[in-house]
Amino acid sequence: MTKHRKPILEVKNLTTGYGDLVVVRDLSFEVYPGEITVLLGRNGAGKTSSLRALGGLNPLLSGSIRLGDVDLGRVPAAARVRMGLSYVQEGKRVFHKLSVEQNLLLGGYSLPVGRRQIEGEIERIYGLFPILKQKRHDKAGSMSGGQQQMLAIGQALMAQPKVLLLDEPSGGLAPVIVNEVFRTVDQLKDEGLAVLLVEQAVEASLEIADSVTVLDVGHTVFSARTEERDDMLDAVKEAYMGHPTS
Amino acid sequence: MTLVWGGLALGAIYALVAIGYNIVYLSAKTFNFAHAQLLMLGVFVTYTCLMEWRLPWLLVIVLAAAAVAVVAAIENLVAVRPVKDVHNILVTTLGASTFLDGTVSLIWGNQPLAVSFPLGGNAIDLLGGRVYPIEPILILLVIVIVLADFWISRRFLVGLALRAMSEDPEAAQLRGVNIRAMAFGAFVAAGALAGAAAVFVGPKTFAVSTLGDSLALKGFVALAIGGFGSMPGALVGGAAVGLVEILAARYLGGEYSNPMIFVMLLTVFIIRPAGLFVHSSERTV
Repeated sequence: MTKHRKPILEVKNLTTGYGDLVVVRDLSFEVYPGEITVLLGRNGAGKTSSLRALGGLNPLLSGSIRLGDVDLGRVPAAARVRMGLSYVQEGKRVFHKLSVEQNLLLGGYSLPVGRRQIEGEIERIYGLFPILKQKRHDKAGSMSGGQQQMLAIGQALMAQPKVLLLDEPSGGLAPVIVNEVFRTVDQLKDEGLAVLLVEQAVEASLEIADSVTVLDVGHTVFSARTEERDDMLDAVKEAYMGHPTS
Repeated sequence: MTLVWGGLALGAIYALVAIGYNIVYLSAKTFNFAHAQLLMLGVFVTYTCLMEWRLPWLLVIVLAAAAVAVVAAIENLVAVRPVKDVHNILVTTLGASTFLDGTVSLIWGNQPLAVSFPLGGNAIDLLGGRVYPIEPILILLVIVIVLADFWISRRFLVGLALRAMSEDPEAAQLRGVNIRAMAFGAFVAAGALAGAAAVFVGPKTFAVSTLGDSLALKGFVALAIGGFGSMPGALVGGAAVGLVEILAARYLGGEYSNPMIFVMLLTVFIIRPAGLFVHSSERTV
């Protein structure tokens, strides 16, 4: 039945890299509304490069990226946010010198609404991450890694995205915090958000995944939906070891 | 006290130039080395509008701002936009400054032209010193500009966007900020500000074709003392340069002005290499 649904993000034969250097070749996958799609792979497998191409930071050398009915090929990064694609970069790239609230305000920069409504939107984010409300006037740089990660996600959600790209939200965080972040991500899909999650924390991300794609040195070595396989963890492990199953 | 007023007023002009450098630096991490020339151009436009055409001075402010903004936009399109490397922009804007120096000399000649201040030219007593009305007004003007910047950059989304892109342009882009358009807008706005402020600078400095060069150097020193990117720093740096220049000239002799300014610059660099208002430790990313 899922086969008949329409993907919100459709990546076909994506080839990308930096300048002339090709890092990812022929990557294809689909992301559906209300689902979490996990992109796994070792260091240097091309996960971040793929996300950067989706976000518009790296060039699309060949292939296509479609958001709904729109071809994103030549759309600049800033415009993609307005179209509903929010990208949370690796390493908690919030604006350290701005306060928590200013960071969130800025997250609503792309919304075609007035300041008042943006402030209303901030309340929604505070509902999701109550700790941010407590720290609203603190400088973002003064917060802990976990809080910064929540702020980074909250900031991206301010733009009311249809698709959320998350690059290693677990990076450098304590396991308890990772669980908290993942729980929130899991909640978001209930509201119809499509999440593309890039991770190295395999087991934790498989717990919330609806479909999984494993990358290695720039190409897909494994791809499956969670409901189709009971042995997902083993299958992914095998794919990691370099023996692709089916 | 008269000397202090004079120094502070001169310093306010240096601060104006430093603020102009800052706006471009914060938005694009490069310098517009022609900024002082833009201010000079504004002074000459003021001369023509005010002294030759006898236009009302509020209108002159608008005209000078518009004229300099247009020239800044052209400078950006010709000397900044096509240049990929940030470091090369330093050279191309320096080229633009030479071009503007020459153009101004061709149009207005090399003789200093007096620009009168519309709100009165007679010296008055103020806090124990004799000042021309333009002097406290210049000081006030530059303080108001810094406060306005502070307010805009905290209160308005576009100000937040500018601060964000100065901290991390890539991340700002991902929040929907069109960084190319913003950098262009900031460049042109800096030009408009220079043009508007020029109406107040002219009565103090005269319209003279060497004005750009002298302001460029001392404005840059003011910025370096205050710290690149810091608006309060530009204010304090400007005041420091203006005061040292005037006081050294009065008590040590005119030829000591510039050496003393550089002694001060070196002293600041030894104590705080990033300038008075910038912490070098903050730059860990």
